[in-house]
Amino acid sequence: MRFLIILTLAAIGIIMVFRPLIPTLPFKVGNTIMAGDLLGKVEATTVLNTRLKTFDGKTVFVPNRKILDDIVINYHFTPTRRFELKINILYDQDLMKAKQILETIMVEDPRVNSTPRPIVYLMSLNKGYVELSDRGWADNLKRFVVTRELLEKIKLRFDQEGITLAMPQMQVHYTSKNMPQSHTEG
Amino acid sequence: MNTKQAYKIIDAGWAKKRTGYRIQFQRRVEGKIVTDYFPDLDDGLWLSEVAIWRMAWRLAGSRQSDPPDINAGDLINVTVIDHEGNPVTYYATNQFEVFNPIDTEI
Repeated sequence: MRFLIILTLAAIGIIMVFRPLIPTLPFKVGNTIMAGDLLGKVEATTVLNTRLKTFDGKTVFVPNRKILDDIVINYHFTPTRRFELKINILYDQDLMKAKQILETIMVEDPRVNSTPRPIVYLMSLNKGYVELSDRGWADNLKRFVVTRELLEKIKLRFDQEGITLAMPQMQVHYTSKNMPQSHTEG
Repeated sequence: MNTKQAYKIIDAGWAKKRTGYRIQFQRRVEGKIVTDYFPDLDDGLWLSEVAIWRMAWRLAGSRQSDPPDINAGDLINVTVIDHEGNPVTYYATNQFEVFNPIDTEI
């Protein structure tokens, strides 16, 4: 009997000592996580696998060893997240008016955080259009809907204000040296 | 004036952050025209401007009678207001919009 007690205490002691070295899953049931390519809510965890419910309704059983080997994003620890909407306008459009519209739409929206304040950057001029980046912070779980609805509002407001969106384009210049054969022969 | 004070002025006077939206409408109840809201004034506001306008035109579109009649269940003068009760411009037109407009003052 005494031997059994000693053995039990020894086992508890060993577990206590080595517990920090035993890998644990970086989330709890109810957390929304991204594990590998999978985004979903953790429904249950067992010793062998984790049950995830994806946002399109699939139930996925992911082996824990795969999760432990992969990068996991746990959105429980990051309730807000930055979003970025890339809006392209033509060179001849009113840049300041476009920036003002984009910022106003974000500021007015209840779901876009006031701090950090939303901001619009001019990202580049060398792609055949003016590339604007519309940046703000929103609740992680509402981020998808917020960004889709902001895009809808931006498109409609630009239409009303007469600002033309640009499509990606490439200009190709022919000279006599690189003119295709069929053209030079004619 | 410091940055904080400057932003306070901007937030109060430029693009106001709204805390939510509600649909305001009228309907006939026991022969009288009454003003009502969706969601109810006791319930929380909707945060999505797009969703609340979509709900507004769905409610307005469910009208059964032809103007100027107002059947039971018909919603008239349907519009969207903000947290302070001020009308909100329809984001699709940037104009104040009222669906099923009927002058009930007559």
